[in-house]
Amino acid sequence: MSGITTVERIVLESLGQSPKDIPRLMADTRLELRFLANVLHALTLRGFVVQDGAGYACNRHLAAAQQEEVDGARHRREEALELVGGLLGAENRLRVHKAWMTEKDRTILRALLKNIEEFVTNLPAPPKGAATHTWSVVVWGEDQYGAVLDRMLGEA
Amino acid sequence: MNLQSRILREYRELHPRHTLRETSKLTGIQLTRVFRLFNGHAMKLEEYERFHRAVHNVSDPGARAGGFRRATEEMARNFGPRELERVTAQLERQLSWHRCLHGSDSLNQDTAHTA
Repeated sequence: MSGITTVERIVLESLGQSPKDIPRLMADTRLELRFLANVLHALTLRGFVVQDGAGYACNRHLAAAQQEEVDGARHRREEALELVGGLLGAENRLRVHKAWMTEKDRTILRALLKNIEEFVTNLPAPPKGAATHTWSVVVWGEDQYGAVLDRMLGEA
Repeated sequence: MNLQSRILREYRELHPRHTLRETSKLTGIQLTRVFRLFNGHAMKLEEYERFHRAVHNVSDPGARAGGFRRATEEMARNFGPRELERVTAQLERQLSWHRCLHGSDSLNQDTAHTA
């Protein structure tokens, strides 16, 4: 079970909103035709996507193992790692900062992060027809250096 | 940067100490021609392919994958089941990305080529 790559996931998310033909999928995901054709081929072979008239649609009758590949905790984690990698590209839109802080400062930071979480989870639904590629990817989080390392060593 | 400049730069990075004669020997391109190419003369497609092979070692896929094989063999010998499972999952994910970028057929060709 290799899960769903992020490039496959955006196609599934797009088709999850509504079935689409290839030109509409290209506009919605901003994927080039050569990539989109490969992704559709792979997703169709694996049964995640079905042909729907002249276009494609999500398979609404996925087996439990396939559903796990889409939204299982391990695969969601893989997606998060890929998205972080994407933010790190040439432009580097990810900021990682290590700093010592007092308990008071940490409390303030965690309150600010909580505000971010509430903000992004309470955003209004996207307008009808909003292209999937225009959605924002937001990453946040904080923990002590040692705890982060402990988690990595525990998984090694 | 055009393709010619890029491949020559990659070649220089890979073989910073190669003389023109060594480059000529490795690529099979005549010495005077190599001199001209490094001085900006337009490259023919065949010459580009020769430099490309020299840089990416595509004529010898076994050597190209040598480091990879060594690493995976070492992992197979030393890693525990959990570590192996994690590496396998990462490799499978890379294969999925490869299929998305290059198509499923490219994987079959590579497999046939290295077999």
